[in-house]
Amino acid sequence: MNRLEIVIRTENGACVMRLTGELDVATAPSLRDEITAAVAKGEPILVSLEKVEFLDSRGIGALVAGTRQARDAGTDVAVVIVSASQQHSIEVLKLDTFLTVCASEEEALRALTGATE
Amino acid sequence: MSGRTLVELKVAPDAELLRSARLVVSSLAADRGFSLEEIEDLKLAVQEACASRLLFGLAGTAVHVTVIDEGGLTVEVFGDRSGSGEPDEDAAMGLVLAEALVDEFTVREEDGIERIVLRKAPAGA
Repeated sequence: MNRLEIVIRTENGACVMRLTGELDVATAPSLRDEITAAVAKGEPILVSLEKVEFLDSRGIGALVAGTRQARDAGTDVAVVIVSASQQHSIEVLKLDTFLTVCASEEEALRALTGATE
Repeated sequence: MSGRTLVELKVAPDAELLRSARLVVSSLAADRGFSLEEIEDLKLAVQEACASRLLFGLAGTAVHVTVIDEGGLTVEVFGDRSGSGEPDEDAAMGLVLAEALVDEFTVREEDGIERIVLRKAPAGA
């Protein structure tokens, strides 16, 4: 059973990962692997959780580890979160200042590429 | 512990199966007037408690989940045996998260086994 689908495309010079399903203790390793592969290519990475129905601490841990990896390699990760409860989890863990959390893909791409409107 | 035991689950040591535990708890919460937001909070707290018992030095042991109706819901989570060592960074984050999402969060030891007890009542109760 595949509870997490990750669709990956290169758009506007960034690696865009659109996730659908549940990002939790069982599925987080696949996101970690995909981020590691993208970091190796040196691309900025956008991870969209817009269609993620459930996010636990292991999923958040994958985002934190991926962000660390990317920054160590001189690039970055921006995360799109639209769910209030997922945003709340990030805030409870005081990770809202560490992670680059955006409300839309457009905002995330601007954060990653430094482009202005 | 007083109250009426609603469900007792013994979940095999497989992270994929924790989903079943949280779905059972969310179904019971929905039947008892919890709001959608409260249900999401309880689901996540149960997930974190179960994951911590499964992963914190407890590989290969089942996770027990007991749900009790005490006005709100009380969920008790424990493994077949206690773990050893320190939880990793993600497990520690999970317990911080669980504590923030419920009305009461307790870790107590009984028969040498650490049990996580979560209590949450619907806002209107």
